[in-house]
Amino acid sequence: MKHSQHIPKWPERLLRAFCSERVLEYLQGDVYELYEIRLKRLGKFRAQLYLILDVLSAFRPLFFKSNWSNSNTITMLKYNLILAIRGFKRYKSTFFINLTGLSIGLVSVLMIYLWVHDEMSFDKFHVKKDRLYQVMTNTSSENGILTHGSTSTLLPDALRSEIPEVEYVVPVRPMPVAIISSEEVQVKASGQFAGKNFFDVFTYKILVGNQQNVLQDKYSMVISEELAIKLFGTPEKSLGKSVEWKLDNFGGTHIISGVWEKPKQNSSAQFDFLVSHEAFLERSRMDNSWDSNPIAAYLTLKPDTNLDLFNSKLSDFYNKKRGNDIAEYPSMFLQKFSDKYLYGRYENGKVAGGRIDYVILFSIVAIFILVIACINFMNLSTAQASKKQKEVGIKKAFGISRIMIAFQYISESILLSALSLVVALVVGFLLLPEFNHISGKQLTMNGGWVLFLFGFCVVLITGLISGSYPAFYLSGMKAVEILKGKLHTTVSELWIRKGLVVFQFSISVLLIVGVLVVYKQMNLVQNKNLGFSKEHVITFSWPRQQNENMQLFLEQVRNTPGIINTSSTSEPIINVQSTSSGHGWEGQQANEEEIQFTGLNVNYNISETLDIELAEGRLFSKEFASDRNAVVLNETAINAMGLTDPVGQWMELFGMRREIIGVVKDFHFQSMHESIKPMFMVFNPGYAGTINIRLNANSENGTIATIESLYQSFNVGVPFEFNFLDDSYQNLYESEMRVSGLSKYFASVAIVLSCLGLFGLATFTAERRTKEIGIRKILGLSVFGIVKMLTGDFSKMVLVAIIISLPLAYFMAEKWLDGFAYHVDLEWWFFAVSGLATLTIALITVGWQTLKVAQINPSDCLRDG
Amino acid sequence: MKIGAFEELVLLAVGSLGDEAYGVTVKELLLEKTGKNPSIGALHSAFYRLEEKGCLESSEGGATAERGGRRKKYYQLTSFGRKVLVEADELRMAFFQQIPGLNLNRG
Repeated sequence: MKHSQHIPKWPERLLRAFCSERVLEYLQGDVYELYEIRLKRLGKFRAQLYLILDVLSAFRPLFFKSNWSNSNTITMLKYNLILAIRGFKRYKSTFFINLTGLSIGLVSVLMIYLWVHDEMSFDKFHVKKDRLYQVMTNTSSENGILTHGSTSTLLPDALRSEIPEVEYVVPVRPMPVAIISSEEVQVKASGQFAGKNFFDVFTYKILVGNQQNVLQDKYSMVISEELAIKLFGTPEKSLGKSVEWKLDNFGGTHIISGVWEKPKQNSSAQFDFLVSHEAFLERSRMDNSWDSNPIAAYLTLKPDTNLDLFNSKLSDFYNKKRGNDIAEYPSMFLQKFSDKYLYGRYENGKVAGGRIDYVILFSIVAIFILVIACINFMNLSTAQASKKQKEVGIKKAFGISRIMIAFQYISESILLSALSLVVALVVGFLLLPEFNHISGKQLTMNGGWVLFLFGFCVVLITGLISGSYPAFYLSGMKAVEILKGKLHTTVSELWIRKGLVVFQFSISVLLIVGVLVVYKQMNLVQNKNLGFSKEHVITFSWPRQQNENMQLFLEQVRNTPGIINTSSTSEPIINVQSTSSGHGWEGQQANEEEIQFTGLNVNYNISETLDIELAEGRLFSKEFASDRNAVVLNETAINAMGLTDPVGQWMELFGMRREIIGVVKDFHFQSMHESIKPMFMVFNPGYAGTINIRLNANSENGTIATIESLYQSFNVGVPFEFNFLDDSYQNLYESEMRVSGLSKYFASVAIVLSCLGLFGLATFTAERRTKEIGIRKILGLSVFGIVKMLTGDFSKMVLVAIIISLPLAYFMAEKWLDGFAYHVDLEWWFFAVSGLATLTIALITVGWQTLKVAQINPSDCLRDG
Repeated sequence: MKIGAFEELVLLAVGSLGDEAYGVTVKELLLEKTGKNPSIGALHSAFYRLEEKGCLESSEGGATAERGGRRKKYYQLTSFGRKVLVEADELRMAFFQQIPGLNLNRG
């Protein structure tokens, strides 16, 4: 009889491997017969699927070959399991310390893994992510090389037609929040101008519309599913409808040509509608030249393009177009779009990090925490070795190999870490909402098999690390010596145990100093006198098309009860960014270095609203019509310009001579990362569309409602969206605040874990030395003396840890603080407090335990032999 | 003699199949009668245990091409197996008749 041609061979081999003769032939026969039947009925794929299930269903102990189910391996595994469980029952406190420690460690690792995984997943959903790049430009400035992602509108077309390696290239220009209106609804949404090939480069699923040409037409518009639902109810209904969109300076009526589904994965680009790039080119007042850079260019390269070669080609190409000397800056390079979220910081024209720093930092913290938990386990098991020595001795006498004994301890620790993982998963699940709150993310544990695999790997690694030392240490003992009772704790063993404790506490101290420094710095940021007052101030932007009515609106606001004053600026006062240079002033030295000024357009009453203090002269006032041609400087500017009696002198700004009417005291108009720079303020309400209103502290809510209705009466149908200035200020430090919040928790975890280990060790030592303690008590040693004796060793270890880690902590803290122009000084007491706190916590942990032991009645512990 | 519910079903199926009872036919019959599809492993393990208990006896035969040339193991009820079935049935009937309001005669 012959086999059927297409029957798989593997079930036969597999079944033969474990099935006993008694069932093998008939079972195989049935399996194949069933396969043939299903092949006809269900087709090949499902027949094979059922074949796998059938073979798996046969994997049961009853069918095992007799030499298989009774084999050494199986028996040993069973036996090891029993031994492990007995061990857990017998040494309950050790078991719970280990379980708690490993669980806490695993929870932290799990949380950090989820966070890191989330960060790493940004922008990875684009199908062409491996060859999708953004064109970046390096330009030299007085502050070194500046890297930015904006470029000329002429570049995309030139690249497309002249460089063959480029597959697609799309210009993209993000726009500020726009107002979109259908016939019935009006909503605010953020959008982008995008080139025709947008959907060839980026992967977004088009729900409605033809992906090939959604952005072909100049008056087409593509919107997100959410926006479609807001505007028309369903994506299908919105197709072909016309909507009006309005920005400050331009807008238009476009026809919806498609709707895309927002990706479920993380995306750094958040936008709700796309308008054709041509609409931008047509209406934009910016000229299309090689010298202005209003857009970002994204491109996909053809597969197998050499990036380095392409980069140099790109720079040459760009400089030729601009007519520059080739050796000179600017140069261009491509950055992978999927990397940009994590690597968004540049130094000297090269990628220098970004959010990846925090990803790495937290990954290291996670590893440290896990290592600390593992060390606890290692220390406790080696300390307990004396109790297990006899077991090992007898096993060895019976001829069990070293590897088998090592395997027993490793399987024990893997079992323990698997148990801890279960605990950790439950705890993690409960803590996740809180963690999401702190980290500002929406993480879930629905990681699927990736999370499962991760858990599996972590359990395996934890088990191996924490089991390895006891396993090899115990298995290496000599049977004869153990049974004769000759074996003593060796010096090297003690050293390793002490070394591990020192290592644990060094990390803990490091983390505590870190938390303290971050906390102090954040405190400084929060409480530093900014030079203006940010409390009780709301800000919002005034629509450009209502420009002429703004002064009237401000006048009416000023007359509203509950309002102290109001004014407007061109940018939010906490983050002023526009800079310019090339300005002149009275008495300027000819060869003086150019000063870069930060410029701000302001309205009347700026100092009354924001409490900006005057050093000299006055601020803009209605009483002087000439103030339109005046300028106010800050103290830094006066110093930089070298003016001695500035008020009344002139300054030339953008070719216009202005009189200096006042000097304001320095205030922080950027984050603390930046130093205060020279600044000028000019009176120009037409360009000062950010309104600031100082409210009376007591009646904020009511007053805001009044302002809102007033706003609505000027801007019918435009949603009123405002921020409190102090909230916006907080947002400047968002990532630092998150890190500060998270680091607090992880440092606590590290110290708790270290103390847990110390507690275990102390318990154990005290237990082993009860007889010694009994005798010492009889001989007259006081309770205090005993506590001192027992804690001495531990405090020495902790002290060594402190001495090792403090210099390291100093170095690291200094490096972090360097990133702030204004930062706290590292004072000696930061380190003293961290060290003392660690020592105290450790001493309390150990002392509490030893105190209990020291109080025992000597006759109790000496009586039984 | 105790047998489990699934084992009882297998015994019944073997009995009703007469000379044609082996893995695949029993599986198909069980699927047809109960609507549940037992895995081939579970079925063989029931055969194995029932044979150990003396409820079934087996004979070999009929190797075919679709079985890759492997023989079938045909099962038949032993007299002990019949007794076990009858006992199980009687036990059930005894219980049934004690339940008020369940008149079996009326069908």
